[in-house]
Amino acid sequence: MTVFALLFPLVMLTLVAAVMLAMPRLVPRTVPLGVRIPSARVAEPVVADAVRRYRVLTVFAWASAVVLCLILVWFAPALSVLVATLVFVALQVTAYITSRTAIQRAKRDEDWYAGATVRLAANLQPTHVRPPAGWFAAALVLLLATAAIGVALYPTLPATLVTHWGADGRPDELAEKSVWVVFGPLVIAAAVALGLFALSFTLRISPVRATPAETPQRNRARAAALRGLSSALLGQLGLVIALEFAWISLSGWLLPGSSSAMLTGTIVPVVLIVVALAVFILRFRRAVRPEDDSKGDADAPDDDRYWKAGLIYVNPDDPSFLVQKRFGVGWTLNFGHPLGIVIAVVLLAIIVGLLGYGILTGTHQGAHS
Amino acid sequence: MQIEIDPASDVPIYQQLRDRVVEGIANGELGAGDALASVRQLAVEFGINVATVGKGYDMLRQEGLVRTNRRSGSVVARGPHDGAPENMDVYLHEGGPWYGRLRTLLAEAVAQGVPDHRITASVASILSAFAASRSAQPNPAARSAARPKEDR
Repeated sequence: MTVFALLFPLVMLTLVAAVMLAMPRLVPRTVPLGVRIPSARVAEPVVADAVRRYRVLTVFAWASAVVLCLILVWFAPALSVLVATLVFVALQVTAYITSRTAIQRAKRDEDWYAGATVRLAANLQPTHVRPPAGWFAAALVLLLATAAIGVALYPTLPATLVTHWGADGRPDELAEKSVWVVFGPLVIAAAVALGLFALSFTLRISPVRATPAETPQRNRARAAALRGLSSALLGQLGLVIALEFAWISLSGWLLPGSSSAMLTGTIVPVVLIVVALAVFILRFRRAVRPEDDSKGDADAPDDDRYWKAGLIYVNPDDPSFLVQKRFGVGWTLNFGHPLGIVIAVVLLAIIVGLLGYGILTGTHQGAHS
Repeated sequence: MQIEIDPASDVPIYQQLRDRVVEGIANGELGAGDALASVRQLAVEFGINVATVGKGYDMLRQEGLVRTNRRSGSVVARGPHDGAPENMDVYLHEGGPWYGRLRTLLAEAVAQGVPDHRITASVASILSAFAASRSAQPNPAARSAARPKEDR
């Protein structure tokens, strides 16, 4: 296990924890820690106390995971990152659920919703989302240029090529030269970029529900920012993936066995994705910065009962299979909608498959080192 | 244009939806040719039944205020600037449906003892508020040019 292989997950963990710390300021003030409250109650001390408690527990979850990872790395290096991640997720979910109960209790005991004027709000104009065509075009041009170089180099490439590298950066899989072995990665990258481009079209049917307590301008700004930035982010992700596969292909042809090329190919895409996410969050934050211009004359209905543990949305009467996350930026599935259930099952199967594959190959490598 | 619906009201949701659109046209927030969200899109944004929104749009279509075609979706079909309606009788003729509703509405206030001049003052104030709101709106051409930008 290299220092990099340990440092990388710790940096990612820290970034995730930082985003979770910032989250209470990214969600509407009428849904603190995923509890729907009337706008007249956003300044209740119990709300601020619960958010503070959540932040303290988040720091605790992060610190526990880091310490655990550093201890485990001496005993079971292959599992240290996985275990630390699972511990962080478990502690983080606990932080969220235990902190929000204080708000739930106050809301119930003091009957916060009694006498509240409840409204549903929506924008009557159609939604326009610009697909990330520029990013997608850049990804395709990059892949085509790399393929052109590949065509030129093809006759001079050796008869066997490296197709896989281990966690230590050393080649652990070879294959005989063929059109698929040389150009396959570029085709896969193009397919992934195309898939992300296609995914951007679901943003048109992803609801960004208006908050009746906010002005129409702010509701519109939030919806436009969330959709526009999400679309751009999908395009940027496609370009980073194209960049990564182009780099792997080029360095494999021109600099075979170069460890600095390997390292560049591992660090640069991660840095680019982190930068893209940071830009997303900062720009979103600027678009939805809380200001005291709320109308405050009406509130969204109390929909807490559809959010199981404040995390999972189950509402068969909701026409949308996608809904905005209760405590987060972006969308989640409606587990009460047939399409939502189908997508959830498929995603779960993919995650379990990948995790299982990762554990199997991880322990396999661990046994060798 | 943001519209609000009261889910606890006795007035059915499709009726509220229709009423808010009619008011939006009267006060100039919606002009002839303005695009409306599709039935499905609006249902998803509200989180209400698709059929409910469909029923509201059906009412507006029957009244000639909205038209829907396959290519451009639903658009506002007419507004206060488009001249008198063909079926003026519905509104102004004794026995017409709108005339009947207005009569009942005025009777409610009269029966409760609201003086006549106060009722006519209310009517005049509502009409002038619509007119003032209409003239405060940017002209239709400028608005339709600005719209695709604000919500992309």
